Amino acid sequence: MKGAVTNTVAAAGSPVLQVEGLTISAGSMPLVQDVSFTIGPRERVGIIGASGSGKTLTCMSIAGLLDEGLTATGSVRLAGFEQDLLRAGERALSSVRGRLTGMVFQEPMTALNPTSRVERQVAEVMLLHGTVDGRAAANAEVLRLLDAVGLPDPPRIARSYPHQLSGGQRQRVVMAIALANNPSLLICDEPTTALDVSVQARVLELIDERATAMGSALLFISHDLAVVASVCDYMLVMWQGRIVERGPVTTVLTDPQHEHTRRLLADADLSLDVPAVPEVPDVPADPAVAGGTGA
Amino acid sequence: MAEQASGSLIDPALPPATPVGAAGLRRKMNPLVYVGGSIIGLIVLAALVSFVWTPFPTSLTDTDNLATLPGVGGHLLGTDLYGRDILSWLMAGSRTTLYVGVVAVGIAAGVGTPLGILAGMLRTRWSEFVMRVTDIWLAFPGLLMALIFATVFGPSITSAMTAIGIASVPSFIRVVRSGTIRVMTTDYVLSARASGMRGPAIAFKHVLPNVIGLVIVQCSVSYAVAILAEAALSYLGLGAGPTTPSWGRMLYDGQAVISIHPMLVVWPGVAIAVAVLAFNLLGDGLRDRFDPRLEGR
Repeated sequence: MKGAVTNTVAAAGSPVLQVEGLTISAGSMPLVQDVSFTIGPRERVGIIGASGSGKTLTCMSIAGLLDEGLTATGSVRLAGFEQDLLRAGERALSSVRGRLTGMVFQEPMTALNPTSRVERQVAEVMLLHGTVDGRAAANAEVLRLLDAVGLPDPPRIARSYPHQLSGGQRQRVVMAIALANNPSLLICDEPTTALDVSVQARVLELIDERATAMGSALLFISHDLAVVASVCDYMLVMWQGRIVERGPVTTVLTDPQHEHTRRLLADADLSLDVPAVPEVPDVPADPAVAGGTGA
Repeated sequence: MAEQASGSLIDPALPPATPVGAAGLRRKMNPLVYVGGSIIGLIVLAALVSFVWTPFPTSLTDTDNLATLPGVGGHLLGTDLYGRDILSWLMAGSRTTLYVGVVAVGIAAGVGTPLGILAGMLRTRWSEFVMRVTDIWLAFPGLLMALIFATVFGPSITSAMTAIGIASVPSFIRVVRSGTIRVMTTDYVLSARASGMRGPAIAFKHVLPNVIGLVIVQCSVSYAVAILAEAALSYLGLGAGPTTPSWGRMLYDGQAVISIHPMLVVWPGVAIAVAVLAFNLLGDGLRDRFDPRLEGR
């Protein structure tokens, strides 16, 4: 399946992200094997899989944030950046992160520095990449961003410390940071898993709305079929470090080919008209899959 | 705290538990902090006042009143063997006490904090090397180093305190390194890296503000150690000279006549004990406030 399957949307324009033969291993043990996919402009791709299926490792390697103990081979190319991300140095990588890619992580409660105000943390990423002129301009932009991610009373939020905000509000701040520099690719790693159900739906709507508004491509990682189905056009199913199935979301959900996908579907008890927020709490991990790397 | 944590699991209406890290800044202060802080405040006040006023000049030797009891000849706490006013010397001695702490802690924190952050951030062989050197360094007694310094550079408060400061560096490295490792595993550092922030910026903007509490705690503990060390060295004649007001020196001068004039040893002894106690109270209180293990989850 390597490289043979190209998504329809990606074929239209030059891809934003092109991953080819990505293999990640810890020593001699492979954790992710031969993962290839492309994401076209404005395309939304979801990666779904149980814990330890390698989906988080895949997205970390795309962001160049793999742990030092892990080695990655293959190639990861991002539009607007000359080099292969897997072989680029730290200095080059840091010019990509936050500018061409934005990331949203799973745990909003700890994703912000407790000792510094929201305003500073959002302004930081713009000042870092020189996308605004000076602190005053950055602060004005911060207010606009906080408003754009749907936070009420942006001036008050900007002056707040993270502990004064709720989990949902913090995740919106993290979104504001991720989107600050108009990234061409937004990477979301289980962005709603740690949020409670009522907040989940609103954050998903926000991701959907902002990605559309900014024209960013989206790489969305989740273990939750319903969440991926509500946000993405195209999905990859990962199992034991490999992509076992891929295709447009509707096709995969209505006509699953791989046994693991069928099991995921059966466990999720999902039909396409189910609302974005599922009642199903979790996809139980396959015992053979569990106990791998933390996803 | 455990009850609160489990409570928030059962009842989602409860406010979320205090967030990690921020807790250190918002948690209620241990009353010990205020006790220790007030005593230190008094010592600082005495030191400041002694610059402009002491009951008697520290250089005055009142030959009519040698080793008098408290109150005689207007000397509130009496005089020592040379007729010097004890209260004035205690006040002026607090300057030495504060000075030694500043020198020793300044060196220890100034060198130990950056090395600790580096050792915690660079998880490489270099970090291992720093830690092994630290272990060896830690095994070398501070007082012994002070004795060597006194021999090489001549006995003075500054050389003694430089030695004590250098000997306190490894404890700062250890504390700061462990705090740094904890901060480096947090999501906000991961987020910062995902935003393109690089090592030096992460060190200043994320690591330092989040380990500074640990540094402050370690400072107050080291301060107490430095005060004791100065007293011990001056007592051995390796610190303050005979004309420098110092509590340790006063002990040294008083010990010869301890059976006849015990108060000459009691006053500086009490002053040293109270000062050390104050810094330890402050340190313990602040540790309760900053210790990550005590933070709510």
